[in-house]
Amino acid sequence: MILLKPNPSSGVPIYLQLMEQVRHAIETGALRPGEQLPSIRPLAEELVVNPNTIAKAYRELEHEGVIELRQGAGAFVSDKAPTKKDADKLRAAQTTVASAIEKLRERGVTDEEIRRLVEAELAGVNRTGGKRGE
Amino acid sequence: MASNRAVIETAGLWKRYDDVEALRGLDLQVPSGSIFGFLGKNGAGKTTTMKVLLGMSRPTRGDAHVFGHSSAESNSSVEIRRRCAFVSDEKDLYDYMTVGEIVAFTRSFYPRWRGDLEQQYLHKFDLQLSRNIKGLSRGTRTKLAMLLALCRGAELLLLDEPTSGLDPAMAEDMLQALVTHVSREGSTVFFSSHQLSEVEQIADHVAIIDQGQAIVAGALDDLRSQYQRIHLVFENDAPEIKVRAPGTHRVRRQGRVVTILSSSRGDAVIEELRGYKPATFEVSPVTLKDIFLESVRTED
Amino acid sequence: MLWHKAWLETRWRFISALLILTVMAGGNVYDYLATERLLPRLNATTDTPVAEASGLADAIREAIEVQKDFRGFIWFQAFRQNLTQMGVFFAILLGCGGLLSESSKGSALFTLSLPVTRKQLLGARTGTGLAQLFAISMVPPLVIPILAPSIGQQFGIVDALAHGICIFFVAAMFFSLASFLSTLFGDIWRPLLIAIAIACFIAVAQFTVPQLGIYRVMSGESYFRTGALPWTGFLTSAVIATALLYSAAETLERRDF
Repeated sequence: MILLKPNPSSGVPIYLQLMEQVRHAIETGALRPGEQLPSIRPLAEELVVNPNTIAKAYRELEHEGVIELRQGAGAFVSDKAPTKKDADKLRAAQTTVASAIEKLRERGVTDEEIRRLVEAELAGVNRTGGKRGE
Repeated sequence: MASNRAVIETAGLWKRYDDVEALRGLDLQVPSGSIFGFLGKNGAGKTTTMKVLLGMSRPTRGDAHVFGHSSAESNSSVEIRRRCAFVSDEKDLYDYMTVGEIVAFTRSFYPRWRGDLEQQYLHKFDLQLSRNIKGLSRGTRTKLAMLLALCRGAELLLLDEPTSGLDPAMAEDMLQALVTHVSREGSTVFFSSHQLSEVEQIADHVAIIDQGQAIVAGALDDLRSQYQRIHLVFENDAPEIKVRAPGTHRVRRQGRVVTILSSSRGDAVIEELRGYKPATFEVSPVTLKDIFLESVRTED
Repeated sequence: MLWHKAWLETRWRFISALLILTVMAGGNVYDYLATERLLPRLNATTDTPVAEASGLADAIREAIEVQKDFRGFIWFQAFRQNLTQMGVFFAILLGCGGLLSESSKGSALFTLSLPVTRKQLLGARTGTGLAQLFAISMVPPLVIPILAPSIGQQFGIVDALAHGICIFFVAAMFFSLASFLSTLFGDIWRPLLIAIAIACFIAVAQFTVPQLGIYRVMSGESYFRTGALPWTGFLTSAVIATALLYSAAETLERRDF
């Protein structure tokens, strides 16, 4: 199953951890719009977590519009959820960054210098009020 | 899943054994269908509470009701036990019986006995009917005790330290059996534990008992959102901080750092503390362990 | 299944008691063979000045007189002595135990979590115990009429049954005493030792306080001498046993575990 066992001692309530896991699964494309989430009871049994906690996580996700709870049928990823397109966008961005770093390294720029250049660039963009990708 | 009625209800419950006061005015409400974690130091009164609820000990003063029946009266106490299952801390059983014999023995008292669950758990826990109870290890005895509890068709499970003495894998098996049972059968579980992480994992309500009284009680999520830990770092030596917002506040000051564990939800405390103009202000989540340790620590 | 549990808890004690008492009774039958030859010699000893002076002479003479025949011998050895003494001991042994002693072994809480009242628990234990007592009271005496013909003697079955009943009533009283003491003390030793101490005390005091003559009831002395069963003794034993069991029930009810 794609959902991992939550950490009860982390200080973050379990339902929040589960919500984050579902959102992450949707962002990375492990869960797609329209796909069904695991049912509450079997999931509670598998993760060894209170069923009410799972129910609460699902309710909150529904409230956020991330999933839909259909009477009698179960929980489904909603169509308006952040989609695979966003994941693709991030993956493309990662490729761009990787190749830029590769080129800089070839020119003998150290990692520390690269980091400072990137920070300065971002900060510089902020000061001039330029656009930042979300 | 559940009605709003409290399955277990105690009011001002006192219990004195000779010259030891085990319970000193315990107020408790356990909602139907909940998994209720009962926490406390050794000797705080957890086992005594269960014994009083089941009619094994008589209250000195105050009320204890289960399913609306009084625990103190002999006949209603039998009625309570018809609908409950109890597993003691030591999990002692009859060492002159075999596994099969004690299953048959226990089964004879419960018309709602679940034969299907019996087969399931015998298989899952790998229990052989012909084995003598005398030679069983603690872990196996615990599994047997759990089987005897889960098969009774009980609406309420009272478990005293269900995972004590078990290795992590077996403990997880126990918890899973509990969660499975609750999700499928809808029973209420009232369990005491030292293992805070396991309480956080499966409980939706908790109560912390200290010196015979309930110090903290409520839905776990509510409690966690109620408590917050606030770190303040000052430019120079931290000032004396007196919090005026309602609730409990433990203030610890060391040099330029002040840490406050606050039980008053929300912004009143935060606003007040910002007024002290710290250089850094940080709010972090609080674990059940933090709440527990702060609640049972003696007053400074 | 509470009765089955009580049986499992006491079966070895019961079987030991049954075996030992039966063997004793049977042994007494065969003892007669040896004693038959000795009795004339014993007669001679009572005529000595020492015997007369110590006052024991009369007692010895009486004992010899009674044991001259088989029936008397059996009464003296088996019913008056062995079965009474050991019968009391085993009655006490069977009466010990119960819920409180379970708590020293920890399983009391399991038992108390069952949907039964404490009276029901005590009732099952008492019922099983009394049934066992009945067996150990009746079977050993019945062995005597069975074995007697093998040494050329006779013993009436009715006599054996009558003596068995006498044993049973008094044994039940001691059983109840041990039961009651077991609701006061959690360990297995104190009820046992205190009950035995009381039994010994009665054995000594009965000579000065005739009302304590329950052992004469148990040995069926009046039946032996006159053919009349000791009904008063039976009644007294029954009343005391009932009172003790009632006290045991009340004590158990109030107990905290």
